[in-house]
Amino acid sequence: MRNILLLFLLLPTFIFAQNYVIVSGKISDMNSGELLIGATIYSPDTKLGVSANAYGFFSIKLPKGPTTLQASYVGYQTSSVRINLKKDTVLNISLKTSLNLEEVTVKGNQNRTAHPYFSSLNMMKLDMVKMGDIPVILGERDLLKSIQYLPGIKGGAENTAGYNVRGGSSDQNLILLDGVPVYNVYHLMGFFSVFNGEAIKNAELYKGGIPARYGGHLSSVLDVSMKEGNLKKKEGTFTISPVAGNFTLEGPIKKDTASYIISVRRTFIDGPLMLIQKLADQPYIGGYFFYDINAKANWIFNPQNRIFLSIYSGLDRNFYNGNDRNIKQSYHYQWGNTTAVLRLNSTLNSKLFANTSLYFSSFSNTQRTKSEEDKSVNLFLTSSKLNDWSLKTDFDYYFTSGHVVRFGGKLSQLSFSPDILQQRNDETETSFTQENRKQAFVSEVYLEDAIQWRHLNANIGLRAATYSIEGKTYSSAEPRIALNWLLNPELTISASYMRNSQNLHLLTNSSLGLPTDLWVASTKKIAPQKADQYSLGIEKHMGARYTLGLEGYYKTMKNVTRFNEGAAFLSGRDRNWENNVSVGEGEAYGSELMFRKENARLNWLLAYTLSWSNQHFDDINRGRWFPFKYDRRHDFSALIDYKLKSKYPGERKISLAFVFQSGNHVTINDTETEGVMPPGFEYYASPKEVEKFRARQTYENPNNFKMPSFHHLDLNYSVKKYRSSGRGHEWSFSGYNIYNHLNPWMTYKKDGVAKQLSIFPFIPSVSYRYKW
Amino acid sequence: MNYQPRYSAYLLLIFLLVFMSCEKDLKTEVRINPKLCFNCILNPDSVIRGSLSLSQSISENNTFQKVSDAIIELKEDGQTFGIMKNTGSGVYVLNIKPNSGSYYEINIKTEGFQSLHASTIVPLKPSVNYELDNPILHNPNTYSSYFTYRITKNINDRLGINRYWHYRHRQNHSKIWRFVGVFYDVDSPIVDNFNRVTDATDELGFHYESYIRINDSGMDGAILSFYSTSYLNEINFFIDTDEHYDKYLKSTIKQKMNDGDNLLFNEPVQIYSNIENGLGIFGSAAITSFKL
Repeated sequence: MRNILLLFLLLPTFIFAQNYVIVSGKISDMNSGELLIGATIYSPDTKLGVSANAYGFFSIKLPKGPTTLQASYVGYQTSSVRINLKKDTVLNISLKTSLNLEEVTVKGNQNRTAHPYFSSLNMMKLDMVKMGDIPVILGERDLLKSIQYLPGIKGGAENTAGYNVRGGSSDQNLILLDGVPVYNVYHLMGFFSVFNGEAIKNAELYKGGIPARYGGHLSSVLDVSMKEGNLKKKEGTFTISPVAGNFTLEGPIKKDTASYIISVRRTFIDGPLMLIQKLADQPYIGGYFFYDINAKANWIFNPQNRIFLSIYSGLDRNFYNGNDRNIKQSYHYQWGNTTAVLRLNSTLNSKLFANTSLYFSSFSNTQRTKSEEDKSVNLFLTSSKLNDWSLKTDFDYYFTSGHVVRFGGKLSQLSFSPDILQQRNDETETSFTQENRKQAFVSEVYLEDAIQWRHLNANIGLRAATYSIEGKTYSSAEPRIALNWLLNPELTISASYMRNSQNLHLLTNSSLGLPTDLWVASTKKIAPQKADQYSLGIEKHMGARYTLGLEGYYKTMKNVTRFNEGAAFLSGRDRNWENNVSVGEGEAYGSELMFRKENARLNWLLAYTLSWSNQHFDDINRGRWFPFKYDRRHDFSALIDYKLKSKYPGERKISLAFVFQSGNHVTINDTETEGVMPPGFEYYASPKEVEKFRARQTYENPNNFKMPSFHHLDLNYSVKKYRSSGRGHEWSFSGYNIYNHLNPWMTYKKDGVAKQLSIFPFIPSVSYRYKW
Repeated sequence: MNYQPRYSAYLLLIFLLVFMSCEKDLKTEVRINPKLCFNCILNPDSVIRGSLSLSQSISENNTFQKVSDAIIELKEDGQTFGIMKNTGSGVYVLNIKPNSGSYYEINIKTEGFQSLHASTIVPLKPSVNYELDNPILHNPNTYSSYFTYRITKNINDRLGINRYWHYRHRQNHSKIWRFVGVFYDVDSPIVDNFNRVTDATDELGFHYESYIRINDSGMDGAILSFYSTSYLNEINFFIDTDEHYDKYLKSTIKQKMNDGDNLLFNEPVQIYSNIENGLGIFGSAAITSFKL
């Protein structure tokens, strides 16, 4: 009887298993073999479809029998395969690049950029080809500046790569390069990001309902993937702009089996600068440069396993050397990131995909002053360093075509050495702030379930983490939910909730991405930051080209840190950072509106954000709430491009970008009151000191002064000529700030007077790219 | 050649545009609503004296407008202690000394403004003693020889939260008393580091600006000791402050240090105030001193 019951229980599974098969495989570019992240495979007969994961892998359960499978990806021609499914099948599909976007046919109401689980305002896939057409300053394409046109994302100071998402600070954005966190993503006072456009294949940005596989930062995730290198043939690019040159080479190590890519970018302003100083016979010769090196290699050692090694190294260096009156002096200030990751992709079976990575990420800055006279040497060194060693494993399990479970975990060891001072001379060698060194251990696990059920698509997950430092362990459980409810094929209502925690704090005076910014760990005294965010939105797809979305959000943040009043790390103040910060809370809310047209001759993205962001610290401003520095009330941006000529092999395009933002907030003493002379000064103070203490300058609340509104209009005209072989060249002519509006870049105090510095007038530029 | 002038004009235009980036004064046309500002530090050794004036915008640069028509009532432990009398120029006096350990509240009423309110508990005078080591002779057999002492300063902390400030006066070569604005000679874990400045050229690698601040956190009721170097004829002052005056002094010193740093990026300092609906400080301090 028991056996009969068991047979009945198993029978449906058996019948089910007999009638369905699994089709799995990878989708790649036909010319280069590059895996296409997020490419879709769709069966019109069954109306079932899936997206490829971050490594181009897909798995779909389909009924036995003949069926058609369509693979598609933005910028590629759709490929159709007619196949008679009898058993589990491995199907690797290569897509051919569309030379002309008009050739891309979009069927029915299927919107190419709509994600099944996330609204277009919560998750954005960035088109790296289109990014090249956005007008930029000095011809340097920049991923982080490009995303600032998106709704809910506000830039920091003008033309800096730092960005703030939904009222959070810039350190609350997790920025991953090939799955490895990059801690300081800026070059040259934040004017450029470390991302070299030539080496990047794909970027995805999440700002709501962030999937449980991501963790560690409060506000957003920017997941950037480097190109893998062409598996078919050798090719390269050379680009030059007024500030930097870039050389990229990629190709097969063994055709269709192993490939490499190496990309180098370097500024060249230091050369002429040093020459001028030398010709002027200056005793000291100084300069500045930065460089980035991206390198990646991969090897497919069998159809199931592929190994990747990717390395990034970037450095900024400001220096001078000289010899004056027999005193030899040298100074340098350098900062940079190094990341390295060794990754193994394994297709364990037709339903289970695994990705295991061992990575290292480091950010350091060093300031070194050395003077030599006769045989006497004096050395002064300040340095900060953050090292992150991690081992992580991720699994994707495909239950059915609309049901994927992801799970995995990560172990990390973080070491922090913020603001270490060392002095060495002939007699002594002293280190002043060794006590700042700290080590932390992090362990994380997650489970994520992406399921499509009738008209409801849900991505539900939970991330759990522990963080141990100085004998104290913090633990967190972070639920994540993203829901998309399809009212009809064109109208979607979305809702999301996420809780995030962040063990790192960025101490910054400027929010400019300066090398003096310190990454520090949560400690016994300062707990990890936490945030809860809710969002609700509606999205309308009008045909395949138009998308209109509106979304509101509300976010609360706890344990956010802020420099205490008077704190500054460029000064010689108390070097124990814990004594220089206040811990408080934040609140942000607002709504975002987006109207987009794509895949046409005339495309646009219009974005408007209305938002508020406030902070509260018990020991600042008498415990009252005050606006966050980047509490910009209105933010409007427009990106428009128009293809003037689109006939093989050439393309001419004109692009326009406009930004209008309410001014950000700064703290300026606005009030003068009568003061009380501090004890001891009353009888002996100089007249100047008496005057200073007689009147005390203060302000009503921090960030009390709103800067003037910020706006600029930029234009870009590009001419591209590429043959079918891929060989060709491209000219870009850009004009930044066409109507020459002098936006405030920063404020500072000089001789007691607040000054505004504007540094970006109308700036024309030209850049050139050659590909072979 | 015919195109040369036009070409030059284009170049000139480009250069003009590029170099139009500029620094300019930030218009701080902030129209602030003037608030009443009351300053009064109670000290058990002196009669009660306070000043009342109006705050002004920093761009006005005027002398402060004094307020002389206010009614200022002082309460001690909930009972009326007295009404402060206007003695002119916004100065109000009550010819009674406050009592250590008592709780004082102030209520200020004046036409056209919301009532001000603040409170403080007057601390007891710190109990301090010191021990001197043998004197050390510097520059012996010279005209500029002098003695210093290594001195141990002990504060006998009372139970409860106390916030001590220490400063010293010293005679200079002209025998004029001066405030000693920097402590190069103190290295103790009980000292608050808020005004500590790291400087590799200092003997200890750091110094303290203007004052030594000590609180009894974690050492309540203990003897709080630290060493320093002293000169003969030096006067050492120890102040126990209430929480409000303590915060006011801290913000004042931070602002003074900020002004001295003259850095591009440092957080401006808001001067602490405990006056409800107004500005200023109503705090208290009790002082003990000894001369070597």
